Amino acid sequence: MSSKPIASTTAMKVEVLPVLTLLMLPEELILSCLVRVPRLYYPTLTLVSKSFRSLINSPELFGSDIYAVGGSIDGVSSSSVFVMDTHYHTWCKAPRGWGKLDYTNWMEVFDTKIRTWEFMPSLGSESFDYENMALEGSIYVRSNEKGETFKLNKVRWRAADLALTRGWSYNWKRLFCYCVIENVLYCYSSIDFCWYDFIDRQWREVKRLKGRLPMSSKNDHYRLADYGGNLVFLWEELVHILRMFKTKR
Amino acid sequence: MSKKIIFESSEGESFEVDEAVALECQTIKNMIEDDCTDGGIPLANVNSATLTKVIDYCKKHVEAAAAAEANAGDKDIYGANKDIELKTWDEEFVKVDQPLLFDLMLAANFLIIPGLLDLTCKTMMRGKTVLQIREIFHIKKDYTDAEEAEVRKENAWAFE
Repeated sequence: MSSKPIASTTAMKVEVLPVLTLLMLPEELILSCLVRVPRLYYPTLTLVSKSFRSLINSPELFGSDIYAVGGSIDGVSSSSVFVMDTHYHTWCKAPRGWGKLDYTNWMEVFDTKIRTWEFMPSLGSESFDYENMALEGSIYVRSNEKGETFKLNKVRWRAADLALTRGWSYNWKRLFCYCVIENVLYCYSSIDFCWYDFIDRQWREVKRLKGRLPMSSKNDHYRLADYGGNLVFLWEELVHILRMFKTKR
Repeated sequence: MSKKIIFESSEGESFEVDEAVALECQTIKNMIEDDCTDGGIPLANVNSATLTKVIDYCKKHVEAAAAAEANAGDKDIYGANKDIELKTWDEEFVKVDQPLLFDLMLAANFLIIPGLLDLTCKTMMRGKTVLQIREIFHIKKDYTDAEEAEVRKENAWAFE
């Protein structure tokens, strides 16, 4: 019994002293500091030293690439796929998909590791008007023509929960915005802010936000984004400048 | 009366704290669970000045948590209670000189106090120049002038 505390305190001293004598921080602690610095300042921080620079460029700090698929470049529609390397802020072209498409084969999946495209089982019929998202390891696709939502799970498409479909409205004029954060689907419209509860299969209101969000039907320029697990709310606001005059009596 | 835990700083000074306060440190919590805190806990790498601050921090956060629980029904219109006051307190708490902040961060890392670690790490680089960061982290500039120019060139988009 009595030997136990002595053993553990001795171990504690031995483990920690070298850090102190070297007057250096363990790498993980510097990383802890760095992750809390806005990325905007990373280029400046690379000037500190070579080891600092390699820490900043390490995958522990940066993990993700940004993909731009299709869209329009200078007004010309493009089917190219671009990848932005977030270490060096450079864009490069990734191989294009779009093999032989037909009514049954119109969905492809891109493997981000080996950078190749592969066909995946497509929804029964061709559809060009749909929304999609990835959630809980499945892909959900909402066909705007049919007003139905499908879920791809274990290489088969199935109809998704009715309740999910109800809340995932046809996004006319982009009045709704959706965002998945840590496997929770959030939906914001000018009227309310909800999240989908997969266990109870119902939409629930995000509480404690009443009066804190720009709930205005006139404003449809907003977006939701996942910023390291935090929900970021972006919106545009027209600012009216009122001039007040004091009248002297 | 609540159980007391005795910490011993690197200078050999003893600090007696409530067990609840000591439990804020994950490392100590494990030791308490393993029943190896009798006769005090020597912290060979934490000096008295740092330990005093660490204990202040833990005390404040234990009190704040207790107060929040007691006033659970008394929330403001946004559903928050006292959490702004605690944040302000935290901000004041880290307004210390750089060496002490550094020691606090090391202590928070060693004792595993997640809140204090987050707070000190957040403060560590805020508003510092490259030169100051070298000084704080005891880093020698290992770039030659040519290499530095190269790094600047590489990140030119950010320095513009």
